Amino acid sequence: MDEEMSIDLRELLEIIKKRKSIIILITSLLIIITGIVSFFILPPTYEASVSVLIGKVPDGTNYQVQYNDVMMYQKLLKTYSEIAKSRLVAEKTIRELNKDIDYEDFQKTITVTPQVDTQIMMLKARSKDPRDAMETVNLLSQNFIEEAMRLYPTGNVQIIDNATIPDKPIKPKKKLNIAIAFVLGIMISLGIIFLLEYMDNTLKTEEDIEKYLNIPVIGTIPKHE
Amino acid sequence: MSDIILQKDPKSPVSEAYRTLRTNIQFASFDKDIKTIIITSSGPGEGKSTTASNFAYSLAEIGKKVLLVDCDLRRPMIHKKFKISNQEGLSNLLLGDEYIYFNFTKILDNLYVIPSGTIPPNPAEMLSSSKMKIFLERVREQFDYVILDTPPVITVTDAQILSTMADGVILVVSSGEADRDAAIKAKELLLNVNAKILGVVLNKIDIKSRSGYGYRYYYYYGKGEERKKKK
Repeated sequence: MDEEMSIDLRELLEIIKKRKSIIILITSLLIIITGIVSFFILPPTYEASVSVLIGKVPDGTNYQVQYNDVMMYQKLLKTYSEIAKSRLVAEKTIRELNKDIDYEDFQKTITVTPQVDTQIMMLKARSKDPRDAMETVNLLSQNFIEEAMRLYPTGNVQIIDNATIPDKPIKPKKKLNIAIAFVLGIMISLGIIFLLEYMDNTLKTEEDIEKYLNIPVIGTIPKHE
Repeated sequence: MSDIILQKDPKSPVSEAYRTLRTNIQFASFDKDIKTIIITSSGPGEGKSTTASNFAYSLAEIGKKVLLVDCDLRRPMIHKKFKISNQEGLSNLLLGDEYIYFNFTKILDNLYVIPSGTIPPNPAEMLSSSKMKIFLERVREQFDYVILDTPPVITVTDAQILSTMADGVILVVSSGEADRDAAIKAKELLLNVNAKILGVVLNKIDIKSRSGYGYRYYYYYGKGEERKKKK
């Protein structure tokens, strides 16, 4: 059993070794294409984010943090994030930005994520322009706070971190893309190699001759010239 | 200088491989009288003529009287291997009456070659003629071995015709080139005419790959010899 296994592996390695040029060619081609696409063709996308804290308006009588309040605002976080994503907030922001895009397209560029088990929520905006990303998300959070205060007057929404101009694009992820191209290239070329090997029905070894022709091999001449 | 590796580089591992083939054939013909041997293959370009000329040369090396006949009257190659004229050869010999006095081309003291000669319009008929039969019977008496290089067995019938007149057939199979089904077909075609297949010569083995694994030994042995000579 072990013997068979090792021979099989050696044959596989031999097949790969024999056709390693295919692997090198396909993999490097894929890497080059991916490299060109992610460095020169895909436009860089920037992302700016704002974090907000949702809590209770201090009423001046009780400064102690109540466990129930904390729990309530954690539960309310989902509702608040829906408000942030709402058409009302979005359209107000679009108007203020003087942008000529509709609600659906705008919605795609922003994400709102409540952080699990906290009272914190992240608002993010993506754009081809870093400054635009920052401005969008800052305006969005302001509008969100206004609307949230209107709907939940007892709640208190505060910005923790304002957005800054992002200095590095988040997309395209060049290293990741190239790594994927590398892995994919190797997998595709291995597939091609084994397919070729499977379709190759030429006689190669003495064993082949004995297996298919059942004629003794009386001479084996190495390749020359 | 000819294209015969046994002549060009007698110490090379390839030459050694041809000598091993010679030994195997000698053993095969030990108690049976195997004198006329056909070299053929399933398809073209598998190395029939190379094998035939080197094999004939290897037999001549040990003092056997050998005649090599190019029976490929379609795409003759033997004259190119030995770099001899193809003006006159087998076809002219079969057409003429005085074939007994035909001058065979002498390569070594005991190695003679008959090239194909002028390419005739009807090779199969020519090879199946009674003159061919008589010719083979004559040279059989004059030589220890008669090696016949033939066209591929699948494409034309020539090799099949000749194998009925010869003592044995060697099938050349080119490693990594010969199609499995074509080789099986070739074997069947030869067995249909009751040819005695002496064995397969596995040609063009890539000694660098695993298929040639076992042959590295004498390959390195041969190399070692060369190195010693340089010192």
